[in-house]
Amino acid sequence: MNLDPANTHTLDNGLITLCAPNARSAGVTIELFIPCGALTETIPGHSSVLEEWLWRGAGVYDSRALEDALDDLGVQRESEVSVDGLLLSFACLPDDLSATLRLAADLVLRPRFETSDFKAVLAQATAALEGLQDAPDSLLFTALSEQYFKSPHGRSPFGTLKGLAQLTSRSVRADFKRRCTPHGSLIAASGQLEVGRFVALVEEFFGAWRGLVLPEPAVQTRAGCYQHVQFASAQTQIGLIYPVPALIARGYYESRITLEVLSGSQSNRLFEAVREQRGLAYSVSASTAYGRGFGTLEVYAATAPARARETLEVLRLELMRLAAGITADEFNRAQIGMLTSLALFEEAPSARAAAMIRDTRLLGRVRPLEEIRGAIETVTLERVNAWLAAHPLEKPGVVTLGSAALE
Amino acid sequence: MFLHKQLANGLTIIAESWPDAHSVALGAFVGSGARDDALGGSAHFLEHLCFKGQVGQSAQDVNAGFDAIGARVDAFTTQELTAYSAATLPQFQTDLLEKLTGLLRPALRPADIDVERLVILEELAMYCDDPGSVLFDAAQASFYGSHPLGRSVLGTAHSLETIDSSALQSHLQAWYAPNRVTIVACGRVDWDALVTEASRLTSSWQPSSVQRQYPPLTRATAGQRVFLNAARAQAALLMPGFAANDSRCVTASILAQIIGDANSRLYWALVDDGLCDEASLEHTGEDGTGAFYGSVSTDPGDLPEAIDRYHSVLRDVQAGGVTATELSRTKKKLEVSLALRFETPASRLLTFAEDWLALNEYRSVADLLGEVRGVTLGSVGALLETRPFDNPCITTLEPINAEPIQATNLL
Repeated sequence: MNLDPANTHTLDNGLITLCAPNARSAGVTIELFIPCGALTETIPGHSSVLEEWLWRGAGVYDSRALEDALDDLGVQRESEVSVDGLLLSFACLPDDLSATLRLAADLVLRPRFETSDFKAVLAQATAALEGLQDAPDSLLFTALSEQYFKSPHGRSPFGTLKGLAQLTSRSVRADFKRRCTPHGSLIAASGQLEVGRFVALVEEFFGAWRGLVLPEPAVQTRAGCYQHVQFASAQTQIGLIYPVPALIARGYYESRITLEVLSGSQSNRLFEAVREQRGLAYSVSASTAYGRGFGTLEVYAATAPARARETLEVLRLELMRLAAGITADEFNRAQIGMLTSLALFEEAPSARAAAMIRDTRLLGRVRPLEEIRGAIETVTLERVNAWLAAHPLEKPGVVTLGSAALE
Repeated sequence: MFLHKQLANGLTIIAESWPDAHSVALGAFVGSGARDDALGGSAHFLEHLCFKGQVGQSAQDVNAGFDAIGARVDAFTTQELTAYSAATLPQFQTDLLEKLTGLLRPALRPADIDVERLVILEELAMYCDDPGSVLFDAAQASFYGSHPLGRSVLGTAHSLETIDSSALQSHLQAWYAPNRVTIVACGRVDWDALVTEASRLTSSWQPSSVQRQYPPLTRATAGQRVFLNAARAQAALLMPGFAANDSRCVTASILAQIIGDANSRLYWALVDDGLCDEASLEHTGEDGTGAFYGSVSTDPGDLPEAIDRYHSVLRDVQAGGVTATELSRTKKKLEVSLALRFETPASRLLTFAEDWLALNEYRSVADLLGEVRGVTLGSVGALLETRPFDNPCITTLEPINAEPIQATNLL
């Protein structure tokens, strides 16, 4: 693994290229991030429809020919739209890098957006939104984000039925032109490749891409409150949300150790208190999410309606109990776990491309793995406990979803 | 490099050595799964109890022990096997082996069993809220009927009530005997230490004479309708396939991809115009049998048309075969996938272990590539001559207030 700050170049049009060569890899992973997520959309659902439509023909290829061209190379591909943006992922053999980048550029610079496909595209986006009703945990997290963020950072990338009904083929094309811009876009590659050649290929295929800088709204949050979503289900879904330090802001590594103790390690506190001791839930976990200048900690459990109140209370108490600090044993195990995870991550070149994109988007640079390792090694138990004492995790936003609200 | 050893007590140890790797992945694979349950759900229940500790050890001790070497255990139960695996740094190989083998000798304390029963009931409830899981279990039950493969891996609320310490102890003694367990290693493996330590750690383990039963297998052609609080309608189509050790299994998988992967016959017939949000087909080879699993998801009102179109695609392929272009494209996709997907020891471990358990022989990545390259239009045609798609067993999952289905070919 190349431990240098990733080889970063900015094209004249604003597109940033990131590269992590690894000779041990058998292939190349390419991630292309475009900041056209729910955060910057004017009608809820634009981003979801864009993503669906994008794959239906580009450049000289109609919808089927494009799929065939990618399959002829054996390119693995997928896309995901989030609140932040659209992420297009490709994996190919090293010899097919140029052909794969050429097709990726067709998708982004020359999508066909055939009117004849629009009805089907809208049907797919609507199906994806309706499908959320069949995934109560996803519904819960959507409601949790919407409650916590006053700004558009809490929007669902699936949009709304009302929003989707307003979209026309013309409005989506115009939206794409406005928001699919090289400014704020990043293309990262990891695996068996050479930096100079990769940059030259990106220049060749994406150099003509033009667009304006897209302003992002500032983040605004609400004070924690309780909300219930009525839903006919066997289990009650429970979600809690807390603010935590942004990526590498002061207290960041202390909060990461805390998360490991709370939910990351095998002997984590939530698992022990909720599942091992009380048998209250099968699924119980905590995770963090980061955006520009903010971080959130989301805690989740699902249980029978009759035990939902007790489960919520145990979760809240476990989070509050952290203010008293963690033990030296917990700290040591968390530190070993994080360092081992980092070593295993280092061995998986394909995961590196997405990590480079996240770092660059949130920090403006890629953290060398040595920097991360050093930061984990130098954080101390005293620092973690001082941070926890000064930043008690209390007064969360709480959402429950199920057959009855909790009193 | 492949390494293999069988100990006197019957324990098998296999390894794929990658000298340049930075990590080692280890697994304890028990050659029994839900199909070997005496009581529905006991294999899966035992998997949960294995994390509660040996005699004199608490669950917290078990979990803290793995944390001390930076390992997170992945455990799961299927119809065929029960697996416990983790990856760590090479210097912790022996520690990890000791902890994994320790998992397989749980104390089975009644108090732990009672708490874990509540956890598994919650796991059942979680799947009850997931339409895809409800459909899968109902489709398996319809297709396999009273055969063990028709039972849910988790069991039922009723069967879970009947599982107690002695039932779990019986399952443990019979199926977790050393001659039913394979220790699998991949990555930077210290082979000599692995064999020496595995011998020491399992020296007191007693072999068992238990054998998997193969009751007569009859597969139904009529499914059922299931109603749930769901937004989308789904259908599962199950058809007879080929066993894992059948030479046609790879051909069946490639055929299923041509019909039902991305950019497939089903995609262009059902998904492209927006009728369905998903339409797929896969093939799975099990021990002694196999099946094609089709699935489709659509608006409730469009389910009959979706099933009609699905039938039509299957009929076309069965009558007309596939094209040379379709075959070569799918083979290329699989070749690239095989080249890319095993980048870490942890990512290789499961396929390596599953191939060994299913075939009792080693399959290198080169072997897997060779099998894919060996599939021809002739082998696909020969498979289609067995007419696997004549009578799909169709199970539907529909919203509770769904209208009656008019399609004549359903049920």
